[in-house]
Amino acid sequence: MGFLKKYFVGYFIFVALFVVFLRWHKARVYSDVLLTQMLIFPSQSKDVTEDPCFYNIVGEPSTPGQYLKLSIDCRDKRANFTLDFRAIREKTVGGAIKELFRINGVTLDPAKLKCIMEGRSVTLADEVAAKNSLECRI
Amino acid sequence: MPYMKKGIWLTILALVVTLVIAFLLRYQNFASVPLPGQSTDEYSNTWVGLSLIRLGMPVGISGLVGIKNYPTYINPDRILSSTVPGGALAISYPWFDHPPMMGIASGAFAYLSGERNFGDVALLTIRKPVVVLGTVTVGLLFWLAALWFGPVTALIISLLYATSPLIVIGSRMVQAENGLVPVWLFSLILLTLTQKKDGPNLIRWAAFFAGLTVLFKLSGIVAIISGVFIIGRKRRSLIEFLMISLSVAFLFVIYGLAIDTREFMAVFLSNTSRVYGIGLDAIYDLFTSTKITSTKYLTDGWPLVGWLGMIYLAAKKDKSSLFVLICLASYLAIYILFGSASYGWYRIPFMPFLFIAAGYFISEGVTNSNYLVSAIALLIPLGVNLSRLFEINKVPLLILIMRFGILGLMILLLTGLVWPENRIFRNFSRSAVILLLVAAVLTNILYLQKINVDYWYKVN
Repeated sequence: MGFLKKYFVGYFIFVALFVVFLRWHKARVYSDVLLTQMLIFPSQSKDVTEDPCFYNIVGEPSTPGQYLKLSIDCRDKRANFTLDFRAIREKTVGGAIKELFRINGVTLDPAKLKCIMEGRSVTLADEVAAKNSLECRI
Repeated sequence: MPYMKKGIWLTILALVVTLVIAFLLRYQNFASVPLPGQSTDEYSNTWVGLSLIRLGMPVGISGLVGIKNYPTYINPDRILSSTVPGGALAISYPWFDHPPMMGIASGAFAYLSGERNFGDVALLTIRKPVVVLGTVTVGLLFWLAALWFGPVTALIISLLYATSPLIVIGSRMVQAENGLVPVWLFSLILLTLTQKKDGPNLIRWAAFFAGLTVLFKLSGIVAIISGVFIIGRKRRSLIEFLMISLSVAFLFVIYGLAIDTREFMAVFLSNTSRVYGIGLDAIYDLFTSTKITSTKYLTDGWPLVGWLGMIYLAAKKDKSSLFVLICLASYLAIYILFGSASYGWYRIPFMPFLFIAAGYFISEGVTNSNYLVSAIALLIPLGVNLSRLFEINKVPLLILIMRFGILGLMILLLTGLVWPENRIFRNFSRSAVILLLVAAVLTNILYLQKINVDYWYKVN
């Protein structure tokens, strides 16, 4: 049993250092800004495109009542997207378009789009609500 | 003595060739099959490690009920345009769904490869260390099987494990089970060595590695349970093993409490009320299907041979057979106890032991004149492989060879069985089993050559 006594003395010293290290590391490096950057920064290696209709997002979010329909008319083709409304950080027309462009690596300036929502013309600053349908064209 | 030396060198050479084959098969199409996104756990595991390094807090995808999550669109490898329908991922932080060891390994590799944000993480990077780990597992399996059943049987086992399509494709994925298995095998190797020569330090290291398996996934507790049964009634060794392994495993609790006590407790409570997703027919499903991801089944005959081999081993009374049974039965108990979902990777820890059972079952035909059962066992994976290789062009000649070949083989083996003293029949029977084994391994490799992205879409 002599070994176990020595082992647990070493173990408790290790645990103490481990706890101190974890807390110190978190206090030193954690920030909400860095967390957001890690979550939403577009990949450095991902191919980017000017064409908002080039990439799609498959399927529908399984969030009843918490979605936003967005369709884009790209002259020769049309793309339809359904976004999870909860995942759109900035709840405006521009915010929704920027989120879509971020996901798909689209570099087009959102200001080049003209959009209508529920039958009326909207600007990028206009607010969007869940279940809205947004139709844009270049 | 020179003859023995030659044998050792031949074994080492055969092992090296097996490891090279294992690596090449795992490396081929490693980033594309299984398709990126077929398991988002691969990314989540890496994100956990990456965020621990950069933020000091684990961030990952959580499916737990009652745990706050932040729906976020993250699109590595463009998975949202292909395999992950439905959109935003349920990101949770601090993430304590599982222990972080696989995440730390994978995240550290991603970090060292220059990937900093979640969107940067690519399977082309993060699957590389797993492919190496899969190859190391083949080597460890050889070592363990050699200690239990001798080098010839171990070579057969490692060759089957190196080439089985199910194992090769499963061992490309960044799943905690692919880290848990080699650590468990190493712990078992050390435990087996202590049976051969009394070394208290070996038991202690075995205990350390058994505890370490839990830091990959909670189901790694199987390494501690199996270790306890293998040590048996040696009281002092048992106490040391339990104290050390449990103290190492407990580091997960300390880690969780140190980062965020309240969230860790909430996740712990949520984990206890997980949905029992594998169903009451889980054991039947385990024997009859070979699942590889959450939705894909890749038919492979080898695990079934393993289950048959287990029955064969159960009838034997030697210590090595008992060890295999202990490992298989312990993991079966854990698999049924946890049983949260019917994912293919939950079955990975069964595989080394099923392949030991399968390899032993087959080697009995090569070394111990048990030709008939070995031949029948080999016909299972061989038939599966051939049917996959010729599923479009059904070659009439092959069908003819199969029908009459099996008839002739059975007549030969049965004659050898009722006339055991006849050397000619014995030699023919042994040659037939070796030929079937070579054919089964070759068809494993040929089948794997066929499994590319196009073929993968057809696998269901």
